[in-house]
Amino acid sequence: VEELEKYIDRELSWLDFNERVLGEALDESNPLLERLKFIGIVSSNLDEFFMVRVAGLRPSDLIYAKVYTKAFMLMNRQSRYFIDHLVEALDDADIVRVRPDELNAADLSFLEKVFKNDLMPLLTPIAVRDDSDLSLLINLSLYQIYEITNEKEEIKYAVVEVPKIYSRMIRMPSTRGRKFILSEDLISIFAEQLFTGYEIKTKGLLRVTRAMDLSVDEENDQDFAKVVTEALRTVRQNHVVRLEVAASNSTIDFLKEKLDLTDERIFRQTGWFDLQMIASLAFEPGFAHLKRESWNPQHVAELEQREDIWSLLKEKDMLIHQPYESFDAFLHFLKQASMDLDVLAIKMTLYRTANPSAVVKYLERAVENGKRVTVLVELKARFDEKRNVEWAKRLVNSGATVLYGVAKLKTHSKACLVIRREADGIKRYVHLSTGNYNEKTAQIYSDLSFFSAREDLTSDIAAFFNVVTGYSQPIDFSKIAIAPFGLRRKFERLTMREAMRSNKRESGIIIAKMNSLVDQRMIDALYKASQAGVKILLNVRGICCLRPGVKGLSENIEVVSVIDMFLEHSRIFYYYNGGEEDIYLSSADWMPRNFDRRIELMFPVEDLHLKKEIKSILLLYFKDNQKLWVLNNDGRYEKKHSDEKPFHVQRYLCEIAAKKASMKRISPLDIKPKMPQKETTKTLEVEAPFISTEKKKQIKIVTNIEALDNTKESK
Amino acid sequence: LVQIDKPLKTIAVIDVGTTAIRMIIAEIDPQKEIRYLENLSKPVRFGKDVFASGRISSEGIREGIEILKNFKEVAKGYAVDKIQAIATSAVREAVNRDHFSDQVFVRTGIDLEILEGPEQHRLELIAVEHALQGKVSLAKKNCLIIEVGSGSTELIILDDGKVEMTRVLSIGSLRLPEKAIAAKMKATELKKLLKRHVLQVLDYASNDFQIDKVDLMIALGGDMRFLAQEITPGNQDTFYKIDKKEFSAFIAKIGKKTPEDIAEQYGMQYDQAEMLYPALLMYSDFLDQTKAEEIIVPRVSIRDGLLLEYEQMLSGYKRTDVAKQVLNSAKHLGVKYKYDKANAANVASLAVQLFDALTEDHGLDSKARLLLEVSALLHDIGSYVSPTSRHKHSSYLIQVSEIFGLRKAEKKLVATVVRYHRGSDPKPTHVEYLSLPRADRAMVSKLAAILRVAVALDESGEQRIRQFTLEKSARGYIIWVSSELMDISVERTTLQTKGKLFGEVFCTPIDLKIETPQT
Repeated sequence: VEELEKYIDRELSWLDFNERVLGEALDESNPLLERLKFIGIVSSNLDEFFMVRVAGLRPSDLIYAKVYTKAFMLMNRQSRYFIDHLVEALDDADIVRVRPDELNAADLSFLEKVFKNDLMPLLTPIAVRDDSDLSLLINLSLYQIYEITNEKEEIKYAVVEVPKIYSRMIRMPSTRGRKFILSEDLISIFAEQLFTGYEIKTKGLLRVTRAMDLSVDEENDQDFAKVVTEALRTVRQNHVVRLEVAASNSTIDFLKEKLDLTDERIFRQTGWFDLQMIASLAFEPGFAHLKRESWNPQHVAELEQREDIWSLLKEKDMLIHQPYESFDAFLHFLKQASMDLDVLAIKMTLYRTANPSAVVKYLERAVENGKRVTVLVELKARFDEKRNVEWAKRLVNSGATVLYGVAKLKTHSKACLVIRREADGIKRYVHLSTGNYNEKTAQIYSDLSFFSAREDLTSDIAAFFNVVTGYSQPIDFSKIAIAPFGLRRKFERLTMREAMRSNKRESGIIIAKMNSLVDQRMIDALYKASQAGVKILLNVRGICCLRPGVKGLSENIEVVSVIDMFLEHSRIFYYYNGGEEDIYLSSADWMPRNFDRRIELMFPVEDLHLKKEIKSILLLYFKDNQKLWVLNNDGRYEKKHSDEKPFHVQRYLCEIAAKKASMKRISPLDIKPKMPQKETTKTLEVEAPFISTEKKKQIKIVTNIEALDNTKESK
Repeated sequence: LVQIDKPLKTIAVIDVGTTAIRMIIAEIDPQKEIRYLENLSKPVRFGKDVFASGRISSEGIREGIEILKNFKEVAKGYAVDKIQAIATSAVREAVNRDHFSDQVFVRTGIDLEILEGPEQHRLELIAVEHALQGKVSLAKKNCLIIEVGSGSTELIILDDGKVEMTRVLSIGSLRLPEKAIAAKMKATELKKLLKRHVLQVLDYASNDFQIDKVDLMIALGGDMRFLAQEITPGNQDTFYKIDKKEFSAFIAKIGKKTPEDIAEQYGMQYDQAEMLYPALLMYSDFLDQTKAEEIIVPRVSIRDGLLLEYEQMLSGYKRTDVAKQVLNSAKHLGVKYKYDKANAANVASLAVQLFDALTEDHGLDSKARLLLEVSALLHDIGSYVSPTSRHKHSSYLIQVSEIFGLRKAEKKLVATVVRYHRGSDPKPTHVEYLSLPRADRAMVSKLAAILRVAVALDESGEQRIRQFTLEKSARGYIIWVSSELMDISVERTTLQTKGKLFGEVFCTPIDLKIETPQT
């Protein structure tokens, strides 16, 4: 196998991922506004991709031309599909864009008022002379460009920024539905008023994307909610990596020259610009019939209604599967910790938090109640900096110890430690999660959230805090592994061990779920394991540089990706280990930046019941036949279609969670001794359905679906 | 209202070492094993500072204070009952050590105790015996306990479980002979140089002990713990047993790697990786000189010693009887100077009897009692040098010798007490005496007074008087001895002169009489 083919290019793989996101927009089983939302996500993802990733490529790079071609093809498909299908569907749903030529006199007089009173004061036409500088074009801002003349023929072009602070979709009076005009259209109608004394020859639209010096943040790539802030938009000077333009040829030539662009960086937009803004419709109130039914994360009564949460956790570990189950379980834990008289200290990492945040509120309360509170704040969390600074200040003012992490390393792990003084000594409790301490994203990101009072684990987490606060160098941990101090080594060793334990009688099994798989050393380890006969099931939502199913290289590996209403965010790792199964949860993806440049945390789940539950969750994904994409060995993803009974994993998990929650808490007196039951429960066969039938026999993992459905136990 | 103090204590012990500051937070319950809660370590460059320039740089001081502040923050999270901080090798040798410990106290509130070699030995022995839990017997063994630190190497020799002698050598894995540094640590060169160096050191010490008699080697130190863990992974015991062959093979393997390789492969800090090979070589050089075929590596450090000592204070149970080991070490010193063992033992016994009988008169503690006993044992070792002024010879021999468990100041007290066991009384013109703190001067006088009486009681050198009863009355104290003793004129005469100091110090004359036979 040649070197080139051994790994899939990460930029191309990332574009593939966005193809799959676009696939959700195309999926007609999704409600209209849900599809529009995915259209918007593709746009914002591409913006970031150009700013960050493409900006890092040089024209001499082999991949350079391919990336542009592929990205522009994606943009074309997105644009075409939007115009050809979604616009029509929106029309049918009475969400209508009014074009300038469709306006009647009444509309015009209404709009003229709007233009003069509201919009015009915000407009700053800028003349562009031959010698003027186009660095004034703001990153990601939409501009109108006018070719203008007067008698003296002094000025050739002028640009006007479409104001960001004004709604792009200006509402028009209408009796039903939503009628709107785009602000660029409105400006265009009255443009003459901006250029008195000049004649407008042609009009056009343009948008530039400039290079940014930040690293990609995988947290954002399917998440439409935040995206690019003002700060990013205002970056000037940096070179233009993409020009989206709809204008006359002469205008385009002019821009090309002035911006020093080559043709491959110019995208001729034939549809609407900046669909991310249009997609904000999906977040407006109303239109309920066009949206998916909203999901309310289920409350976990066992935790949330427990006043003495400590005795519960001393009994057993607890697992919360967000967003199927509610983040409130953690908030309750933190609230108890902040008020409990015996709690001495609380330590936690805060990477991204909602604003205003209940987490911050409870931490402040804890300080007021005399607890020692140490918060490790990550300010480098992209796009959130300003927000982070605000509440960090609040915490400092309240008296908490706020630290900004280890120099040059981003703290990506999510952990909370509570130290409590009890009758028989110090007891510690931890909450560890694959997701951020953010109430909002906890409703749309799928994450596993874990509580424990195990001595060895809590002791490790205490030591972990000494490392991330910079108070101590890493010591030997007994349970956890952390990056950049040995996490990669741990994963490599686990993978090697699996390969070593694999034999003809019993092949090893690795099942892993993550956001991205890029790290070459890990991929090589997986290839080796595959060659040693280990069956490897990978559920990688985003970038995957591993090429599965290649004979002699990776024939025992299969890769799937689930793109759906909730962002798949949990990182789960399963190793068969000769029957002594190991399950780990982590904040880290298998990417060099996670292993080398971030503080990441990986911890084992050892509770037998929870292990069973997590294993089932892992395997359920492979059963999905609605939202599952399979990576072929040619590097292409194919949506899995099946004639079998539809199985939609995220919906199934919703159902299970609802069922669990609907069970009333029962008193221990009601529990009657049961006869031992035969294992007649439904089993779910995951048969690696995507590799040839002969292989099917080799890999057959049977999971007990009921492990998830523990409602049955209490019946 | 009766408030029962909770027996449970949370303690932080901090060890300011040569290359790192470390802290353990632990819970101590007299009924249970020590429970470790936190273990922190942060590298410092004290060794590099001190061994190059003799002092800790101001930058180093600031760095150290910052670390201690952070450690204290962690300790506060556990509402610890006590923070005990000690400093060893590098800080001990720094000329600005007092300045350093003062700054630490002013800026962090942590009272940093600068530990001397003997105290370190005491803590090490406590930790070792705890880790061995009696599973490795020291009886009938000639045992070497060794720790090659970064700034110094500590040796304790025990014979049949009794401390014979202790040594602090000024070599360590960071403090190599200059030639080794010049040779840029080339493995083969380094090996030769270190070997020669160790042999030299041992040769110099051969008067005190024969290393070739050692048949049990116990090694302390992070480097050995690392090696032991690599050789026997998964060992859950409180100590490791390492076979000599495995040990040599592992060292050979390490010798082939660069510090970068070691750091990468074992996930170690670079500084630590750099010192690993020289440290292991030194252990190996010592091992080669002994008869031992294996090395015992206890999974403990000096920090455990501190915790254990604290636990013993709470529980009253002592696995390691430090006082006894101090006496063992003193007796060994006596043997070295060919003392009259029977006389020394009897004087010591008599002195202690008197001390105990005079509890209300002197108001001194058990430590003073131990010092008195050591003084009594060693009071006459000076006669090895010359019979004239032998009290003075005894005094300086004690000053320059190492006695297990006694710090310098304590040794000085012993030396001074011995100085006054005959000849002149303590006088303001005696510089040695005057340089003692006031409380210590009073103690020295009292102990010397008692010692003089005890010496007088065995003036014959025949141990005729072994027991007595002390009668106290307003007119004076009387030492009554058994009527079986026919003639005590020698002792009585001697006491008349030697007892003067007693009379002065305790404001009561003392006399010796024979009991009337009971009828």
